[in-house]
Amino acid sequence: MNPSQDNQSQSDTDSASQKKELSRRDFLRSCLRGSAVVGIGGVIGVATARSSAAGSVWQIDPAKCTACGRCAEACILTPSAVKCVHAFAMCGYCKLCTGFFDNQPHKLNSGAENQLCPTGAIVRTFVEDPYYEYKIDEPLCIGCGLCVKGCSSFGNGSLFLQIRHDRCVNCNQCRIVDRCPSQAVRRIPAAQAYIIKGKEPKR
Amino acid sequence: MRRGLAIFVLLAAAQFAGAVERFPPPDFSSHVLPTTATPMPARWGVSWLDVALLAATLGGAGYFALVRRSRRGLVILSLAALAYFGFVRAGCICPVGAIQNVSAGLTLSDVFLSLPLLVYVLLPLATALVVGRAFCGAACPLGAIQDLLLIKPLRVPQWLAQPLGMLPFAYLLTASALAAIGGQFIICRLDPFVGLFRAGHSAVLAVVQAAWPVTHQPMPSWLVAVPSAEVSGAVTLAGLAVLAICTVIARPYCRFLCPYGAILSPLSVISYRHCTVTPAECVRCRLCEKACPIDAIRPPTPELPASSRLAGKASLVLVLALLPLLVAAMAWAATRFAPALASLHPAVHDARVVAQGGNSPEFDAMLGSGLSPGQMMERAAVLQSHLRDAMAIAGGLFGLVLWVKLLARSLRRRRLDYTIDKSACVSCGRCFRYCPIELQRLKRIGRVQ
Repeated sequence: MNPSQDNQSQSDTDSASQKKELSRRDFLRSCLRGSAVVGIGGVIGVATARSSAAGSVWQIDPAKCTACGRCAEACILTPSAVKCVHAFAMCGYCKLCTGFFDNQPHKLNSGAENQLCPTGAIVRTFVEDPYYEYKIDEPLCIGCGLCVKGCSSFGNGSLFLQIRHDRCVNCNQCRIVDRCPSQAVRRIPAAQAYIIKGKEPKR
Repeated sequence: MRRGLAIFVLLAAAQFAGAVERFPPPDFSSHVLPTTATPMPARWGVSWLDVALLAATLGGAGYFALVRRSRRGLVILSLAALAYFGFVRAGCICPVGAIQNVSAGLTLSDVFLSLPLLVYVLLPLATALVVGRAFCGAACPLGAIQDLLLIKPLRVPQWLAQPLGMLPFAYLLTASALAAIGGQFIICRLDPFVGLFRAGHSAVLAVVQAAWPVTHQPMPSWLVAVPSAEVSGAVTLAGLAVLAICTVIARPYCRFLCPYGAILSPLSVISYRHCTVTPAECVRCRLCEKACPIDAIRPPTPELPASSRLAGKASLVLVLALLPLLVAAMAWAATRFAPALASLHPAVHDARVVAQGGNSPEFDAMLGSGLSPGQMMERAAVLQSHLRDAMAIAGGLFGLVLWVKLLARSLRRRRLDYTIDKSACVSCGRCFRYCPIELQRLKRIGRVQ
């Protein structure tokens, strides 16, 4: 290659202007990069102040829940991660439990035709006259809330729905939140993952 | 005395819980009350393990894309990401959807934002500033599944690809605005791949379960997640359609919908370093011209006649003058969507259902809450006006993005070589082997002239 003098100077100025333009672009780019770093840092700063390391879980606030039954089908899990739980300290241990028995039971025994629960997930055991204890067989419970409705309408309201965290996969957006008519599902700190009604017995 | 106090506390609690003590709890002498079991969460959203794995994948992606220039390494990384973030974690949680958590966490006082989650969202963004969109190419399970499914890439013509490329910005801004007022997370809801990830998760677990050691120890039940509600329904049909499209159009979600990509791509433009088609100097052999399935390789610009200079300047001035108009128009247009979008906030939705009349669970809930329909509508109106403000900001920002895109189009830059469009390139490494200089570097061929 043996370029003429003229061509040489032409290419020189070309490369010089290119270099200058490139460096200007690079400078702009660095400025933008710097501001992006500052922006990300700002988000970290603001958000860190409002974040917790423990994380959070979804839970139903029993004070708001109306046991509408949507939990049973709204959850991505089948059966739902929502199950009925029992605050025994609140329970009246009634012989005629409106959470256990159908509207007009034929007999006050645990025959399937008398039960409200579609899956027979409530176990009724005799304690002492006239008291009966009601326990939830959780693997059978589908979270339909029929018993919860029965208990809170006519009884003490000791049966209530909770998201069970041994099942919940903690979706980023809980499907139940979008379906819940009373906005009873919210995120709570994972360290205190349940909202249990009434008071727990000391033992 | 203590007993009386306990009863008082109990009554107060019962009152708070809306329960009535119609039948006083019996005072058993011998029977011990069972305790209410409260099984603890097995996983709390994003853990530091996820963050560590993400960081390792991102580091690996940068290494394979820039240092080793190895497509195989990148594919292996993306398969690993698909396996872990996709099928083990069932596609949830991902940085794409987590943008909404950050948006909600920054604006709402009652939203918890966990620290690992925050790091999880911001790590790929920081990486984009250093090496470009390495996350998309190697660490994102959504990207990996689209990359794997690609069989015969068809070109999307520029006249279609350019406007479709604006969708991610609109999606990002709308979803952030909605999340900021406490509405649904539409990015999670409309994720076309999460159904597949969950179904795959269950399938893998079914196998694991079958092979579970024959002990009396049952598998942790959180592992046994069988999705059904999510797999049926319109979103999954749309997901299958997207999967079908993926076979002929490369990364349709990444290019035309992904809201996280809308943040990553401008950051990638100003990245400190970025992978290149050629390891050294471009020889303009045109061999890489058809290499990129997402059209991220820009050919050299043709020499323009000097006569077009004036027209170019005129259009530039026009675009510059357009800024306030675009921002105002887009802000106004976005507020038009606020009433419809507001239904995606549970409180607004419930108020509207109650206002329609008739008996519904929402109506029952209203009776329980002690609010009147009027109060519910008032609250809904406040939320809707908040959303309108948020949408005005989102629309203004969209106008700004649109303006920047127009500006970039009207600025004339000479490109002499085949260069990578950093905003679009996901560092998948497909183009490396197309370059003869690369083959020369790998000593596959002799010296190139």
